Amino acid sequence: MNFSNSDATVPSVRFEDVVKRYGSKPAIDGVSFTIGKGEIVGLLGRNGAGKSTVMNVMTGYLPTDCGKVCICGVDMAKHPEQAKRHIGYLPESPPLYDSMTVMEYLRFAAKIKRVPRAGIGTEVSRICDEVGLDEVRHRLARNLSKGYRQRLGVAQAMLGNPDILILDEPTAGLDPKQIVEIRSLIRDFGIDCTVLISSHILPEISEICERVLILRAGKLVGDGRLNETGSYSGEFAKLRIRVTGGEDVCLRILRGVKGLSSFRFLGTAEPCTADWHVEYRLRETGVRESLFEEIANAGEKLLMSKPIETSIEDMFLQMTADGVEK
Amino acid sequence: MIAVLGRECLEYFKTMLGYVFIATFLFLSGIFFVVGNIMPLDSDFNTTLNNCVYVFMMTSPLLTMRLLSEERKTKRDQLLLTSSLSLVSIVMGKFLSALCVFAVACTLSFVYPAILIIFGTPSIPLILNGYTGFFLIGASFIAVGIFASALTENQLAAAGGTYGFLLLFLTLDHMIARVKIGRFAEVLRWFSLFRRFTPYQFGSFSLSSTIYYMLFSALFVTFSVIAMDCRRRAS
Repeated sequence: MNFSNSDATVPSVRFEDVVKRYGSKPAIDGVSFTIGKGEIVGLLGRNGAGKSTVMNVMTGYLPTDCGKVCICGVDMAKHPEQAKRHIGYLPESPPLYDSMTVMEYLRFAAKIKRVPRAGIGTEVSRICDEVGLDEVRHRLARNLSKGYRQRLGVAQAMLGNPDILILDEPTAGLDPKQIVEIRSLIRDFGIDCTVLISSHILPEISEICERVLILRAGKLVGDGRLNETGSYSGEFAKLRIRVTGGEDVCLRILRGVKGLSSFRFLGTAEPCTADWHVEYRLRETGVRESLFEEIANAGEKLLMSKPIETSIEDMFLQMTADGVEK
Repeated sequence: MIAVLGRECLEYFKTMLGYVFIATFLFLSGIFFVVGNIMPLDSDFNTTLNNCVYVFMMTSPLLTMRLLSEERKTKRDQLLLTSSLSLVSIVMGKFLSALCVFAVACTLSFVYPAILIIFGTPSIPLILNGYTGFFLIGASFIAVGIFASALTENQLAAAGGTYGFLLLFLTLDHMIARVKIGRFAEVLRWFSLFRRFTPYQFGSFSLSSTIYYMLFSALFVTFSVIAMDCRRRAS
Protein backbone atom coordinates (compact mmCIF):
# COMPACT_ATOMS: atom_id res chain seq x y z
CA MET A 1 0.00 0.00 0.00
CA ASN A 2 1.36 3.43 -0.91
CA PHE A 3 0.77 6.05 1.75
CA SER A 4 2.71 8.93 0.26
CA ASN A 5 0.40 11.53 -1.14
CA SER A 6 1.79 14.22 -3.38
CA ASP A 7 -1.63 15.19 -4.75
CA ALA A 8 -2.05 18.93 -4.11
CA THR A 9 -5.85 18.54 -3.91
CA VAL A 10 -5.61 16.26 -0.86
CA PRO A 11 -5.75 18.46 2.25
CA SER A 12 -2.81 18.22 4.62
CA VAL A 13 -5.13 17.93 7.60
CA ARG A 14 -8.77 16.89 7.69
CA PHE A 15 -10.78 16.81 10.92
CA GLU A 16 -14.25 15.28 10.58
CA ASP A 17 -16.57 15.73 13.54
CA VAL A 18 -13.81 14.93 16.02
CA VAL A 19 -14.76 14.42 19.66
CA LYS A 20 -12.29 13.88 22.50
CA ARG A 21 -13.48 13.56 26.08
CA TYR A 22 -11.53 13.65 29.32
CA GLY A 23 -13.80 11.53 31.51
CA SER A 24 -17.30 12.72 30.70
CA LYS A 25 -16.20 16.27 29.82
CA PRO A 26 -15.63 16.88 26.11
CA ALA A 27 -12.30 18.63 25.52
CA ILE A 28 -13.13 18.99 21.82
CA ASP A 29 -16.64 18.52 20.62
CA GLY A 30 -17.54 17.87 17.00
CA VAL A 31 -14.67 19.84 15.50
CA SER A 32 -14.41 19.76 11.69
CA PHE A 33 -12.00 21.64 9.43
CA THR A 34 -9.51 21.10 6.66
CA ILE A 35 -6.10 22.67 6.18
CA GLY A 36 -4.75 22.82 2.65
CA LYS A 37 -1.20 22.22 1.58
CA GLY A 38 1.08 25.19 2.24
CA GLU A 39 -1.29 27.05 4.56
CA ILE A 40 -0.02 28.68 7.75
CA VAL A 41 -2.85 28.45 10.23
CA GLY A 42 -3.13 29.88 13.74
CA LEU A 43 -5.10 28.06 16.40
CA LEU A 44 -6.62 30.47 18.93
CA GLY A 45 -8.68 30.12 22.05
CA ARG A 46 -8.68 30.90 25.74
CA ASN A 47 -6.96 28.62 28.24
CA GLY A 48 -8.76 25.27 28.31
CA ALA A 49 -10.49 25.90 24.97
CA GLY A 50 -9.03 22.68 23.55
CA LYS A 51 -6.07 23.93 21.47
CA SER A 52 -3.51 21.49 22.87
CA THR A 53 -6.03 18.65 22.64
CA VAL A 54 -6.62 19.44 18.95
CA MET A 55 -2.86 19.30 18.42
CA ASN A 56 -2.43 16.10 20.43
CA VAL A 57 -5.23 14.42 18.48
CA MET A 58 -3.80 15.67 15.19
CA THR A 59 -0.39 14.22 15.98
CA GLY A 60 -1.83 10.87 17.11
CA TYR A 61 -0.65 11.35 20.69
CA LEU A 62 -4.27 11.06 21.84
CA PRO A 63 -6.87 8.88 20.11
CA THR A 64 -10.25 10.35 19.20
CA ASP A 65 -13.49 9.19 20.82
CA CYS A 66 -15.48 9.91 17.66
CA GLY A 67 -14.76 11.29 14.23
CA LYS A 68 -11.89 10.97 11.82
CA VAL A 69 -8.48 12.61 11.46
CA CYS A 70 -6.67 12.33 8.14
CA ILE A 71 -3.10 13.53 7.63
CA CYS A 72 -2.14 13.98 3.96
CA GLY A 73 -4.98 11.60 3.10
CA VAL A 74 -3.89 8.91 5.58
CA ASP A 75 -6.35 7.94 8.31
CA MET A 76 -4.62 8.41 11.68
CA ALA A 77 -6.72 5.72 13.38
CA LYS A 78 -6.07 3.06 10.72
CA HIS A 79 -2.46 3.78 9.76
CA PRO A 80 -0.95 5.86 12.61
CA GLU A 81 2.69 5.11 11.80
CA GLN A 82 2.29 6.24 8.18
CA ALA A 83 0.27 9.32 9.13
CA LYS A 84 2.81 10.39 11.77
CA ARG A 85 5.63 10.33 9.21
CA HIS A 86 4.16 13.54 7.73
CA ILE A 87 4.23 15.41 11.05
CA GLY A 88 6.78 17.42 13.01
CA TYR A 89 5.47 18.39 16.46
CA LEU A 90 6.63 20.78 19.15
CA PRO A 91 4.46 20.25 22.26
CA GLU A 92 3.83 22.95 24.86
CA SER A 93 6.94 21.93 26.82
CA PRO A 94 9.77 20.69 24.58
CA PRO A 95 10.28 16.92 25.14
CA LEU A 96 14.03 17.00 25.85
CA TYR A 97 16.31 14.45 27.52
CA ASP A 98 18.47 16.36 29.98
CA SER A 99 21.35 13.89 29.90
CA MET A 100 21.83 14.20 26.12
CA THR A 101 23.79 16.86 24.28
CA VAL A 102 22.07 18.87 21.55
CA MET A 103 23.72 16.76 18.84
CA GLU A 104 22.88 13.44 20.52
CA TYR A 105 19.28 14.52 20.99
CA LEU A 106 18.85 15.66 17.38
CA ARG A 107 20.48 12.47 16.09
CA PHE A 108 18.09 10.42 18.21
CA ALA A 109 15.10 12.46 17.01
CA ALA A 110 16.25 12.01 13.39
CA LYS A 111 16.44 8.25 13.85
CA ILE A 112 12.96 7.90 15.32
CA LYS A 113 11.62 10.11 12.52
CA ARG A 114 13.21 7.66 10.08
CA VAL A 115 15.51 10.19 8.42
CA PRO A 116 17.74 8.03 6.14
CA ARG A 117 20.79 6.93 8.14
CA ALA A 118 23.26 8.31 5.57
CA GLY A 119 21.69 11.77 5.69
CA ILE A 120 21.35 12.17 9.47
CA GLY A 121 24.66 14.03 9.96
CA THR A 122 23.90 16.53 7.19
CA GLU A 123 20.32 17.03 8.31
CA VAL A 124 21.30 17.63 11.94
CA SER A 125 24.01 20.13 10.93
CA ARG A 126 21.56 21.94 8.64
CA ILE A 127 18.90 22.26 11.30
CA CYS A 128 21.45 23.37 13.96
CA ASP A 129 22.57 26.07 11.59
CA GLU A 130 19.04 27.20 10.68
CA VAL A 131 17.69 27.29 14.23
CA GLY A 132 20.84 28.83 15.69
CA LEU A 133 22.05 25.97 17.85
CA ASP A 134 25.59 25.85 16.49
CA GLU A 135 27.28 27.33 19.51
CA VAL A 136 25.59 24.92 21.96
CA ARG A 137 25.66 21.74 19.91
CA HIS A 138 27.88 19.91 22.43
CA ARG A 139 26.13 21.22 25.53
CA LEU A 140 23.88 18.98 27.66
CA ALA A 141 20.17 19.81 27.36
CA ARG A 142 19.98 20.29 31.15
CA ASN A 143 22.47 23.17 30.87
CA LEU A 144 20.58 25.04 28.14
CA SER A 145 18.73 28.28 28.79
CA LYS A 146 14.95 28.32 28.30
CA GLY A 147 15.37 29.99 24.92
CA TYR A 148 17.79 27.38 23.67
CA ARG A 149 15.58 24.57 24.99
CA GLN A 150 12.70 26.02 23.00
CA ARG A 151 14.90 26.30 19.91
CA LEU A 152 15.99 22.70 20.33
CA GLY A 153 12.31 21.71 20.48
CA VAL A 154 11.62 23.65 17.27
CA ALA A 155 14.68 22.03 15.62
CA GLN A 156 13.44 18.58 16.61
CA ALA A 157 10.04 19.32 15.05
CA MET A 158 11.57 20.58 11.80
CA LEU A 159 13.96 17.63 11.40
CA GLY A 160 13.45 15.63 8.24
CA ASN A 161 11.36 18.35 6.55
CA PRO A 162 7.92 17.08 7.57
CA ASP A 163 4.90 17.97 5.40
CA ILE A 164 3.08 19.40 8.40
CA LEU A 165 4.65 21.35 11.24
CA ILE A 166 2.59 21.62 14.42
CA LEU A 167 3.88 24.11 16.99
CA ASP A 168 2.36 24.70 20.41
CA GLU A 169 3.53 28.11 21.66
CA PRO A 170 6.75 28.05 19.61
CA THR A 171 8.16 31.37 20.83
CA ALA A 172 7.44 30.96 24.54
CA GLY A 173 10.49 31.91 26.56
CA LEU A 174 12.48 33.38 23.67
CA ASP A 175 14.05 36.83 23.71
CA PRO A 176 12.85 39.40 21.10
CA LYS A 177 15.71 38.66 18.69
CA GLN A 178 15.10 34.92 18.89
CA ILE A 179 11.34 35.48 18.41
CA VAL A 180 11.98 37.37 15.16
CA GLU A 181 14.34 34.62 13.97
CA ILE A 182 11.96 31.77 14.80
CA ARG A 183 9.02 33.59 13.16
CA SER A 184 11.07 34.08 10.04
CA LEU A 185 12.06 30.41 10.10
CA ILE A 186 8.41 29.35 10.42
CA ARG A 187 7.42 31.60 7.52
CA ASP A 188 10.19 30.12 5.36
CA PHE A 189 9.09 26.64 6.33
CA GLY A 190 5.50 27.53 5.42
CA ILE A 191 6.41 28.29 1.80
CA ASP A 192 6.44 24.58 0.97
CA CYS A 193 4.77 23.00 3.97
CA THR A 194 1.70 23.29 6.12
CA VAL A 195 2.10 24.94 9.52
CA LEU A 196 -0.32 24.99 12.46
CA ILE A 197 0.60 27.28 15.34
CA SER A 198 -1.03 27.76 18.69
CA SER A 199 -0.13 30.96 20.49
CA HIS A 200 -1.55 33.45 22.95
CA ILE A 201 0.43 36.23 21.30
CA LEU A 202 -2.11 37.57 18.83
CA PRO A 203 0.26 39.93 16.95
CA GLU A 204 2.45 36.88 16.35
CA ILE A 205 -0.47 34.99 14.82
CA SER A 206 -1.44 37.96 12.64
CA GLU A 207 2.19 38.33 11.52
CA ILE A 208 2.80 34.71 10.61
CA CYS A 209 -0.56 33.18 9.76
CA GLU A 210 -2.86 33.61 6.78
CA ARG A 211 -5.80 31.85 8.43
CA VAL A 212 -7.06 31.39 11.98
CA LEU A 213 -9.20 28.74 13.66
CA ILE A 214 -10.84 29.83 16.90
CA LEU A 215 -11.89 27.41 19.58
CA ARG A 216 -14.22 28.07 22.46
CA ALA A 217 -15.01 25.40 25.06
CA GLY A 218 -13.95 22.64 22.68
CA LYS A 219 -16.00 23.89 19.72
CA LEU A 220 -14.79 25.59 16.58
CA VAL A 221 -16.43 29.04 16.64
CA GLY A 222 -14.41 30.80 13.97
CA ASP A 223 -12.55 30.00 10.79
CA GLY A 224 -11.38 32.98 8.78
CA ARG A 225 -8.59 34.52 6.79
CA LEU A 226 -6.22 37.28 7.80
CA ASN A 227 -5.43 39.93 5.21
CA GLU A 228 -2.09 41.68 4.65
CA THR A 229 -2.73 44.09 7.50
CA GLY A 230 -3.41 41.22 9.85
CA SER A 231 -7.11 41.98 10.22
CA TYR A 232 -9.67 39.22 10.24
CA SER A 233 -12.22 38.53 7.57
CA GLY A 234 -14.54 35.72 8.43
CA GLU A 235 -17.57 34.83 6.32
CA PHE A 236 -18.82 38.42 6.08
CA ALA A 237 -17.54 41.64 4.53
CA LYS A 238 -18.48 44.79 6.46
CA LEU A 239 -18.87 48.32 5.05
CA ARG A 240 -19.67 51.71 6.51
CA ILE A 241 -21.60 53.72 3.94
CA ARG A 242 -22.87 57.32 3.86
CA VAL A 243 -25.88 58.02 1.69
CA THR A 244 -27.73 61.24 0.98
CA GLY A 245 -31.34 61.30 2.12
CA GLY A 246 -32.92 60.48 5.42
CA GLU A 247 -32.96 57.32 7.47
CA ASP A 248 -36.32 56.14 6.07
CA VAL A 249 -35.26 56.65 2.46
CA CYS A 250 -32.07 54.71 2.99
CA LEU A 251 -33.90 51.95 4.77
CA ARG A 252 -36.15 51.47 1.72
CA ILE A 253 -33.10 51.44 -0.57
CA LEU A 254 -31.16 48.90 1.50
CA ARG A 255 -34.19 46.60 1.69
CA GLY A 256 -34.06 46.41 -2.09
CA VAL A 257 -30.38 45.47 -2.32
CA LYS A 258 -29.86 41.80 -3.16
CA GLY A 259 -27.36 39.81 -1.12
CA LEU A 260 -27.10 42.03 1.97
CA SER A 261 -27.03 39.92 5.13
CA SER A 262 -27.68 42.71 7.58
CA PHE A 263 -27.63 46.49 7.93
CA ARG A 264 -28.06 48.92 10.76
CA PHE A 265 -28.33 52.70 11.08
CA LEU A 266 -25.29 54.30 12.67
CA GLY A 267 -26.37 57.94 12.78
CA THR A 268 -26.00 61.20 10.90
CA ALA A 269 -22.48 62.57 10.58
CA GLU A 270 -23.32 65.27 7.97
CA PRO A 271 -26.56 67.16 7.39
CA CYS A 272 -29.08 65.35 5.13
CA THR A 273 -27.11 62.11 5.10
CA ALA A 274 -27.32 58.77 6.88
CA ASP A 275 -24.47 56.46 7.89
CA TRP A 276 -25.15 52.71 7.75
CA HIS A 277 -23.27 49.58 8.64
CA VAL A 278 -23.90 46.87 6.03
CA GLU A 279 -22.73 43.24 5.90
CA TYR A 280 -22.77 40.67 3.14
CA ARG A 281 -21.32 37.22 2.67
CA LEU A 282 -17.92 37.24 0.99
CA ARG A 283 -18.96 34.48 -1.36
CA GLU A 284 -21.88 36.59 -2.70
CA THR A 285 -20.84 38.43 -5.85
CA GLY A 286 -22.17 41.73 -7.18
CA VAL A 287 -23.51 42.97 -3.83
CA ARG A 288 -21.59 46.25 -3.97
CA GLU A 289 -22.72 46.84 -7.58
CA SER A 290 -26.33 46.20 -6.58
CA LEU A 291 -25.98 48.57 -3.62
CA PHE A 292 -24.60 51.33 -5.83
CA GLU A 293 -27.33 50.84 -8.47
CA GLU A 294 -30.19 50.83 -5.95
CA ILE A 295 -28.94 54.08 -4.43
CA ALA A 296 -28.58 55.67 -7.87
CA ASN A 297 -32.00 54.40 -9.01
CA ALA A 298 -33.57 56.01 -5.93
CA GLY A 299 -32.02 59.34 -6.95
CA GLU A 300 -29.68 59.44 -3.98
CA LYS A 301 -25.87 59.55 -3.85
CA LEU A 302 -23.31 57.29 -2.21
CA LEU A 303 -20.89 59.68 -0.48
CA MET A 304 -18.71 57.13 1.28
CA SER A 305 -18.07 53.40 1.30
CA LYS A 306 -15.41 52.25 3.75
CA PRO A 307 -14.49 48.68 4.59
CA ILE A 308 -14.61 47.95 8.31
CA GLU A 309 -11.67 45.78 9.37
CA THR A 310 -11.83 43.64 12.47
CA SER A 311 -8.52 43.43 14.27
CA ILE A 312 -7.47 39.98 15.39
CA GLU A 313 -7.75 41.11 19.02
CA ASP A 314 -11.35 42.30 18.55
CA MET A 315 -12.23 39.16 16.67
CA PHE A 316 -10.66 36.99 19.39
CA LEU A 317 -12.60 38.77 22.13
CA GLN A 318 -15.86 38.57 20.17
CA MET A 319 -15.51 34.91 19.26
CA THR A 320 -14.37 33.70 22.64
CA ALA A 321 -16.85 35.70 24.69
CA ASP A 322 -19.28 33.56 26.68
CA GLY A 323 -22.44 32.68 24.78
CA VAL A 324 -20.93 32.81 21.29
CA GLU A 325 -21.74 29.88 19.00
CA LYS A 326 -20.64 29.44 15.42
CA MET B 1 13.55 0.19 18.20
CA ILE B 2 17.34 0.35 17.84
CA ALA B 3 17.26 4.13 18.31
CA VAL B 4 15.32 3.76 21.59
CA LEU B 5 17.63 0.92 22.69
CA GLY B 6 20.72 3.05 22.00
CA ARG B 7 19.30 6.07 23.77
CA GLU B 8 18.28 4.15 26.87
CA CYS B 9 21.68 2.40 27.10
CA LEU B 10 23.32 5.82 26.86
CA GLU B 11 21.01 7.12 29.59
CA TYR B 12 22.01 4.32 31.99
CA PHE B 13 25.68 5.21 31.68
CA LYS B 14 25.29 8.99 31.40
CA THR B 15 23.41 9.04 34.68
CA MET B 16 24.69 7.11 37.70
CA LEU B 17 21.90 4.54 37.47
CA GLY B 18 23.79 1.97 35.37
CA TYR B 19 26.90 2.22 37.54
CA VAL B 20 24.91 2.07 40.78
CA PHE B 21 23.06 -1.03 39.59
CA ILE B 22 26.20 -2.83 38.43
CA ALA B 23 28.15 -1.90 41.58
CA THR B 24 25.32 -3.00 43.88
CA PHE B 25 24.80 -6.24 41.99
CA LEU B 26 28.52 -7.10 41.95
CA PHE B 27 28.96 -6.18 45.61
CA LEU B 28 26.04 -8.28 46.83
CA SER B 29 26.82 -11.24 44.55
CA GLY B 30 30.47 -10.90 45.67
CA ILE B 31 29.38 -11.36 49.28
CA PHE B 32 27.56 -14.58 48.30
CA PHE B 33 30.64 -15.68 46.33
CA VAL B 34 32.95 -15.14 49.31
CA VAL B 35 30.57 -16.78 51.78
CA GLY B 36 29.55 -19.65 49.45
CA ASN B 37 32.77 -20.40 47.55
CA ILE B 38 35.87 -18.77 49.00
CA MET B 39 35.34 -19.39 52.73
CA PRO B 40 34.26 -23.06 52.49
CA LEU B 41 36.65 -23.62 49.52
CA ASP B 42 33.71 -24.90 47.45
CA SER B 43 33.88 -24.79 43.63
CA ASP B 44 30.06 -25.11 43.12
CA PHE B 45 29.32 -21.69 41.64
CA ASN B 46 25.73 -22.48 40.67
CA THR B 47 24.56 -22.29 44.28
CA THR B 48 26.00 -18.77 44.34
CA LEU B 49 24.14 -18.05 41.08
CA ASN B 50 20.94 -19.23 42.75
CA ASN B 51 21.55 -16.62 45.46
CA CYS B 52 22.28 -14.05 42.73
CA VAL B 53 18.70 -14.58 41.51
CA TYR B 54 17.51 -13.04 44.80
CA VAL B 55 20.16 -10.31 44.52
CA PHE B 56 18.81 -9.41 41.08
CA MET B 57 15.25 -9.63 42.36
CA MET B 58 16.16 -6.88 44.84
CA THR B 59 18.16 -4.74 42.40
CA SER B 60 16.16 -5.13 39.15
CA PRO B 61 13.76 -2.23 39.94
CA LEU B 62 16.80 0.08 39.71
CA LEU B 63 16.93 -0.82 36.04
CA THR B 64 13.25 -0.74 35.21
CA MET B 65 11.46 1.74 37.49
CA ARG B 66 12.01 4.84 35.35
CA LEU B 67 11.81 3.31 31.88
CA LEU B 68 8.18 4.13 31.06
CA SER B 69 6.95 5.97 34.15
CA GLU B 70 9.40 8.86 33.81
CA GLU B 71 8.61 9.34 30.12
CA ARG B 72 4.98 9.86 30.95
CA LYS B 73 5.57 12.06 33.97
CA THR B 74 7.88 14.43 32.08
CA LYS B 75 5.65 14.24 28.95
CA ARG B 76 8.64 13.17 26.88
CA ASP B 77 6.47 10.34 25.66
CA GLN B 78 5.02 12.99 23.33
CA LEU B 79 8.21 12.76 21.30
CA LEU B 80 8.08 8.97 21.06
CA LEU B 81 4.33 8.56 20.60
CA THR B 82 4.11 11.20 17.86
CA SER B 83 7.02 9.70 15.93
CA SER B 84 6.48 6.88 13.47
CA LEU B 85 7.63 4.30 16.04
CA SER B 86 5.07 1.72 17.10
CA LEU B 87 4.30 1.17 20.79
CA VAL B 88 5.81 -2.31 20.49
CA SER B 89 9.12 -0.87 19.19
CA ILE B 90 9.24 1.68 22.02
CA VAL B 91 8.60 -0.90 24.77
CA MET B 92 10.89 -3.50 23.18
CA GLY B 93 13.68 -0.91 22.85
CA LYS B 94 13.41 -0.09 26.53
CA PHE B 95 13.17 -3.74 27.57
CA LEU B 96 16.27 -4.65 25.55
CA SER B 97 18.23 -1.71 26.97
CA ALA B 98 17.64 -2.96 30.53
CA LEU B 99 18.56 -6.45 29.34
CA CYS B 100 21.82 -5.08 27.87
CA VAL B 101 22.80 -3.49 31.20
CA PHE B 102 21.92 -6.75 32.96
CA ALA B 103 24.09 -8.60 30.42
CA VAL B 104 26.97 -6.22 31.23
CA ALA B 105 26.54 -6.99 34.96
CA CYS B 106 26.44 -10.75 34.21
CA THR B 107 29.60 -10.46 32.10
CA LEU B 108 31.44 -8.56 34.83
CA SER B 109 30.33 -11.15 37.39
CA PHE B 110 32.29 -13.75 35.38
CA VAL B 111 35.22 -12.56 37.46
CA TYR B 112 33.97 -14.82 40.29
CA PRO B 113 33.93 -18.12 38.34
CA ALA B 114 37.20 -16.98 36.73
CA ILE B 115 38.78 -16.96 40.20
CA LEU B 116 37.44 -20.49 40.75
CA ILE B 117 38.84 -21.60 37.38
CA ILE B 118 42.29 -20.16 38.22
CA PHE B 119 42.52 -21.75 41.67
CA GLY B 120 40.34 -24.86 41.25
CA THR B 121 38.65 -27.18 38.77
CA PRO B 122 34.99 -26.19 38.43
CA SER B 123 32.93 -27.45 35.48
CA ILE B 124 32.83 -24.61 32.94
CA PRO B 125 29.81 -25.97 30.97
CA LEU B 126 27.91 -26.26 34.26
CA ILE B 127 28.64 -22.61 35.06
CA LEU B 128 27.67 -21.48 31.55
CA ASN B 129 24.43 -23.45 31.84
CA GLY B 130 23.78 -21.76 35.18
CA TYR B 131 24.40 -18.35 33.61
CA THR B 132 21.94 -19.17 30.78
CA GLY B 133 19.22 -19.84 33.34
CA PHE B 134 20.20 -16.78 35.35
CA PHE B 135 20.00 -14.54 32.28
CA LEU B 136 16.58 -15.95 31.34
CA ILE B 137 15.08 -15.51 34.81
CA GLY B 138 16.65 -12.02 34.90
CA ALA B 139 14.91 -11.17 31.61
CA SER B 140 11.61 -12.24 33.21
CA PHE B 141 12.21 -9.94 36.20
CA ILE B 142 12.96 -7.06 33.82
CA ALA B 143 9.73 -7.75 31.90
CA VAL B 144 7.77 -7.64 35.17
CA GLY B 145 9.58 -4.39 36.10
CA ILE B 146 8.78 -2.70 32.80
CA PHE B 147 5.12 -3.72 33.19
CA ALA B 148 5.04 -2.09 36.65
CA SER B 149 6.66 1.00 35.12
CA ALA B 150 3.94 1.15 32.45
CA LEU B 151 1.24 1.22 35.12
CA THR B 152 2.28 4.40 36.93
CA GLU B 153 3.93 7.80 36.50
CA ASN B 154 5.71 7.46 39.83
CA GLN B 155 9.12 5.76 39.80
CA LEU B 156 8.90 4.69 43.44
CA ALA B 157 5.48 3.17 42.87
CA ALA B 158 6.92 1.34 39.85
CA ALA B 159 9.77 -0.04 41.99
CA GLY B 160 7.31 -1.03 44.73
CA GLY B 161 5.05 -2.65 42.13
CA THR B 162 7.96 -4.70 40.77
CA TYR B 163 8.82 -5.96 44.26
CA GLY B 164 5.14 -6.72 44.81
CA PHE B 165 4.80 -8.80 41.64
CA LEU B 166 8.08 -10.66 42.20
CA LEU B 167 7.26 -11.37 45.85
CA LEU B 168 3.89 -12.67 44.71
CA PHE B 169 5.65 -15.15 42.41
CA LEU B 170 8.03 -16.10 45.23
CA THR B 171 5.11 -16.63 47.62
CA LEU B 172 3.46 -18.78 44.97
CA ASP B 173 6.46 -21.13 45.19
CA HIS B 174 6.02 -21.51 48.94
CA MET B 175 2.29 -22.09 48.46
CA ILE B 176 3.00 -24.84 45.97
CA ALA B 177 5.04 -26.69 48.57
CA ARG B 178 2.06 -26.67 50.93
CA VAL B 179 -0.75 -27.39 48.46
CA LYS B 180 -1.62 -31.06 48.70
CA ILE B 181 -4.15 -31.25 45.86
CA GLY B 182 -2.07 -33.18 43.31
CA ARG B 183 -3.35 -31.85 39.98
CA PHE B 184 -3.64 -28.23 41.17
CA ALA B 185 -0.13 -28.31 42.65
CA GLU B 186 1.16 -29.68 39.35
CA VAL B 187 -0.40 -26.77 37.43
CA LEU B 188 0.98 -24.22 39.92
CA ARG B 189 4.41 -25.86 39.73
CA TRP B 190 4.35 -25.45 35.97
CA PHE B 191 3.76 -21.72 36.39
CA SER B 192 6.38 -21.27 39.11
CA LEU B 193 8.95 -18.64 38.13
CA PHE B 194 11.64 -19.55 40.64
CA ARG B 195 11.34 -23.36 40.53
CA ARG B 196 11.96 -23.22 36.81
CA PHE B 197 15.53 -22.16 37.63
CA THR B 198 16.29 -25.39 39.55
CA PRO B 199 17.35 -27.48 36.49
CA TYR B 200 19.95 -24.83 35.53
CA GLN B 201 21.26 -24.79 39.08
CA PHE B 202 21.85 -28.53 39.04
CA GLY B 203 23.48 -28.59 35.65
CA SER B 204 20.80 -29.72 33.21
CA PHE B 205 19.65 -27.56 30.34
CA SER B 206 15.85 -27.40 30.40
CA LEU B 207 14.21 -26.57 27.08
CA SER B 208 10.76 -26.28 28.67
CA SER B 209 12.11 -23.77 31.25
CA THR B 210 13.87 -21.81 28.50
CA ILE B 211 10.65 -21.59 26.51
CA TYR B 212 8.72 -20.76 29.70
CA TYR B 213 11.04 -17.84 30.55
CA MET B 214 10.94 -16.51 27.00
CA LEU B 215 7.14 -16.71 26.91
CA PHE B 216 6.92 -15.15 30.38
CA SER B 217 9.05 -12.18 29.24
CA ALA B 218 7.07 -11.83 25.99
CA LEU B 219 3.80 -11.92 27.94
CA PHE B 220 4.81 -9.14 30.33
CA VAL B 221 6.25 -7.00 27.52
CA THR B 222 2.88 -7.42 25.75
CA PHE B 223 1.08 -6.46 28.98
CA SER B 224 3.28 -3.33 29.12
CA VAL B 225 2.30 -2.38 25.56
CA ILE B 226 -1.38 -2.91 26.39
CA ALA B 227 -1.05 -0.91 29.63
CA MET B 228 0.59 1.99 27.78
CA ASP B 229 -2.08 1.96 25.10
CA CYS B 230 -4.87 1.86 27.71
CA ARG B 231 -3.33 4.77 29.63
CA ARG B 232 -2.99 6.74 26.41
CA ARG B 233 -6.64 6.12 25.54
CA ALA B 234 -7.83 6.88 29.06
CA SER B 235 -5.89 10.15 29.38
